[in-house]
Amino acid sequence: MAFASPSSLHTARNALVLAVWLFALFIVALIDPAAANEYVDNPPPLIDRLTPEVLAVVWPGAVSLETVEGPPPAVAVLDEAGEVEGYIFSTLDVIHARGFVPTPFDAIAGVRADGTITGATQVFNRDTFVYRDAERTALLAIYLSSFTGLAYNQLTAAPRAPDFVDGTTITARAMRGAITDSARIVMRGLFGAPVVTEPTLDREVYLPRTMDELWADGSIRSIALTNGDIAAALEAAGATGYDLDTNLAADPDELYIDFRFALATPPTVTQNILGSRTLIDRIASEYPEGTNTILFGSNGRYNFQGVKFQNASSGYRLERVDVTQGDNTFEFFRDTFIRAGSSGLGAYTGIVAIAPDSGFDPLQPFSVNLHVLATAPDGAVTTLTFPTAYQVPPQYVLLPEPEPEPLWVSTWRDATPQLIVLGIALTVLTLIFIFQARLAQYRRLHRWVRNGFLLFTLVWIGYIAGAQFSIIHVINYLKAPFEGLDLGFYLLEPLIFVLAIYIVVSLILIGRGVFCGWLCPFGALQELSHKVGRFLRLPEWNPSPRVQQWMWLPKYGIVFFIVATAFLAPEISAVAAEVEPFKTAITSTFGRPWFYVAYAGALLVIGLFSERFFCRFLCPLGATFALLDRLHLIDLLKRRPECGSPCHLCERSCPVRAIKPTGEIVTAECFQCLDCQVEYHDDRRCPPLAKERKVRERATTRPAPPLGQPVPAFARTVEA
Amino acid sequence: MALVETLAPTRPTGFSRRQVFKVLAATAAVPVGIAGMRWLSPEPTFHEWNGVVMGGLGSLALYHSDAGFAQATIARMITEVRRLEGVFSLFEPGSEISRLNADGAVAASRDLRAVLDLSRAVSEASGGAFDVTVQALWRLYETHFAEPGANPAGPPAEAIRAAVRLVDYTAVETAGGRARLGRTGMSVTLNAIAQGYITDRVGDLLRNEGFDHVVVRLGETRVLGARPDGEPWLVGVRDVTGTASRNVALIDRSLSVSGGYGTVFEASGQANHIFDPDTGRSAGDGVTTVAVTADRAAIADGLSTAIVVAGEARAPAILAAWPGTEALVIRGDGTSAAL
Repeated sequence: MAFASPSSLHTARNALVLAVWLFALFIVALIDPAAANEYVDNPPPLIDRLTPEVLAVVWPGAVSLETVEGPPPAVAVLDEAGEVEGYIFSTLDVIHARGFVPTPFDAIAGVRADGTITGATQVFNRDTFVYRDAERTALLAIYLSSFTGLAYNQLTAAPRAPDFVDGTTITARAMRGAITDSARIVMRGLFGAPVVTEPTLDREVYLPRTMDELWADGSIRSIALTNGDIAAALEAAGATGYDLDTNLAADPDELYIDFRFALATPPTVTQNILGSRTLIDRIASEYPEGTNTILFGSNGRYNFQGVKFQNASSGYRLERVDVTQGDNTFEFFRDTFIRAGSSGLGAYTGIVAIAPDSGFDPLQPFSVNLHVLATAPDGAVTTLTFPTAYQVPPQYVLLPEPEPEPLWVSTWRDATPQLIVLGIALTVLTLIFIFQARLAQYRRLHRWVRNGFLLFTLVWIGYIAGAQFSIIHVINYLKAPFEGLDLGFYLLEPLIFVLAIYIVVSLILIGRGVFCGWLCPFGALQELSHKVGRFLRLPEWNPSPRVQQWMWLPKYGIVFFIVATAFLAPEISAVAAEVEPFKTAITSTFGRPWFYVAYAGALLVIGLFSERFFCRFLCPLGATFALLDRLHLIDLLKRRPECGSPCHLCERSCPVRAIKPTGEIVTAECFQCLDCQVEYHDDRRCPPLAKERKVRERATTRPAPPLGQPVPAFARTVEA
Repeated sequence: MALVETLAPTRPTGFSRRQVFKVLAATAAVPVGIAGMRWLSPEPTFHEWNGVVMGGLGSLALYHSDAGFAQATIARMITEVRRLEGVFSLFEPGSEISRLNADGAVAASRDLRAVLDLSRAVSEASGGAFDVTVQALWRLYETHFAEPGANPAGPPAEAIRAAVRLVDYTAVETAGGRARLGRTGMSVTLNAIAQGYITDRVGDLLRNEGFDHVVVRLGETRVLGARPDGEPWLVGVRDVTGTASRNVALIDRSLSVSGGYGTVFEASGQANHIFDPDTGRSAGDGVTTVAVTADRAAIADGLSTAIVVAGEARAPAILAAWPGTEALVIRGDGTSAAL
């Protein structure tokens, strides 16, 4: 350990080292980050940071601004009438959020009372990947502008690197989080938005709205009936000529009643329709908390309120209107009805109160029924009912903060394109194995399919998607029951997770070769480079079957050592796992210290002359799978009685020498390349097939030998 | 067998000059190919994360050529950090340690048992200078100084004596998958060692993942490898004046810095967050700052706290219990000593 004393730092060399060291952005050391920046320590007042350019993004068309002390500090945006439309806030002022670097950034955004973001931009950022990089800054600005019009707690997620721009992703995510958190604080601190745990009707917030807006957003519903409509309804009810409270006019097109209503519990509805809070305050003081209210209004000959609610004889009931919701009917009486004169809803307006314990749920649909009473000459009363459905518009429903979704969920969403590519590849591979018998009949096609898939595995799975499966994954999965690693730890690697499942299934069904021979990028690299070697007619070396029996064993020892030390001495295990050159050759594209690169290079050189040398003799991952290979259910690769005795064709053509001299395939060492199956189906190479072919050909050129004559001997056929 | 011979590939009996040349050329082509791959792939750079770990600031810096892989790895490491916070954090009411303090016993994860066992070892080596049961004192001081106009001399002596009776590391038991506190009212804090453990866990995972140049600062510092240029990492040790006046050079090593300056209860800094389990008073009279380097951050973490309490004189004996550990002690007068 070297402790440099302060005085020795004065020497030029140390000063240079220190300068280089400071320049490298990763030294976090203990340099006080905040001291670095005047802006962060003493930011100018927010209203001064709102230059016309910033304002044009954050709140286009803002009429007048006013600083509010808070908490939290913000700038109120006022409309012409001086009413607060919303607030503009700075993440630096509100939560001092940081992104990629310790120096906080400053993002400015506006939020309306209904929680929508009016616009967002960043005004200060020392993120090393973004600062002074016009392209990335512009991309970040585009991303932030995508928040406009969204609810503050449902902002669009930042795309993940590398699809976005390297290094800005974390900043983008941090800014999104900071804007959401700051907006929440503004909503609670300045708008007094309540915190809810379930969907709740908004009983607090008033937002200025015109009558047209209330009609358009579904706050007000109505039903208009003409004299003709009523006459038709009377006829349908068999009550033509009955006596009505309000007689029909002669003109059938003349309006009988235009009945309008609105759920009046949200203050925005009532205050905008009635023009004042008087009635809201009166209801709040006279009725229990949680009372719901509905505003009724009507124009026309007939009015919704009638007069009978003032009479004891009719029980003070408002007989012309009631509300149904499910099986419940809610009727209104003199003590739950307040007349409100004329308003935007009509010449007659009134409000009814529904008790909180009545069973009425304002969030559920309900129906408002308008009744017209017709009296028969004998005094019997027929009621004509005109129902209109109502559902409270979503802007009056406060939703609880969505649970922050686990990190892996967004990772899977972001990885969707990659998962699709991998899914297609695994489907293709599955089809290859399902139809392997057909494929193996076409030597050239098989070669193209195999080399093509290996190239895909190397380039896409290995280098582009970075999904090299490794012994480390096996160890992490093996350790899961003991170490209690979070499931998210595994799910954060979607491709590896999918591959792991596919590997397990393929191991159980077919054997280790499905992964080792087709899906391992380093295996593909070795096989492809070896094939180049074959093409160049490089010499090939393979141990004799006897020696090979022994050479197959070390990998089992290696995996035993790695797994055992993983539990007993993880430090040693980490070193031992470096036997695997995957992270050198694939994951970091050889960008590692020289000894790792030299080791991987040496394996590739050996692989030029000896097919898959590492896979066959050293690979701990392959050894793990080879051990589990004993389980496999299906022996896919076909054999003939002649295999091994007398024929040794496949044994010699097997690139990894996994066929015993007896003709038996050692599936634990088999990479499922299907080369032996190509031989198996080749009627010019496979001796028994070639024999059959020649018999067939002879049969076509000369007459078949008479029955009972001995079939030509095997060897003779070949010699012929 | 004649059949087999005719079908087998012809094998050269010896190498011609042409063959030897081909073999050499092919062998040379591999390093050229590797160099090409390195040239084609993105330059490795540092991928950083900054955030809050156990209530303090933490960071991770990984050197890798594949940005997506590095970011995904960082996300996985943070998942592991969050899980460990669920074990060790006193801020989380549902954490294992919070439940241990509340109930006096808890079904302990491997992580909790490992840290409690290591804590006991450090306690024994330091003769009780390091003690995880000082939480009772912490609570006492915290409550005392939370009152407006609190006596700057600290809580009354009687209260301190009562709290000291609840400080005894030997009463913390781990057996049969459970952790238990031997005395009613006792409580533990692992804030002097759990950050080091978390730092180690993440460091181990990253080593497994094949990262060669890494700085893990999750409460304590651990580096993997040297800097990409081969030079050691330099980490500034901040002394009581708040300046990073001394640098510690690290390669594959962990550093923990402890000092009374970290959290102070009142303005003069006389009462701070490190307690002497014997007296119940804030420790650190002789030394202001202790920086310990060790292979593992948890050990460095425990030892640095132990030495602040035990003092410079006892430091060599404590360090001797863990071969390969070293310490830098900064005294109140600004002088320092490497041990």
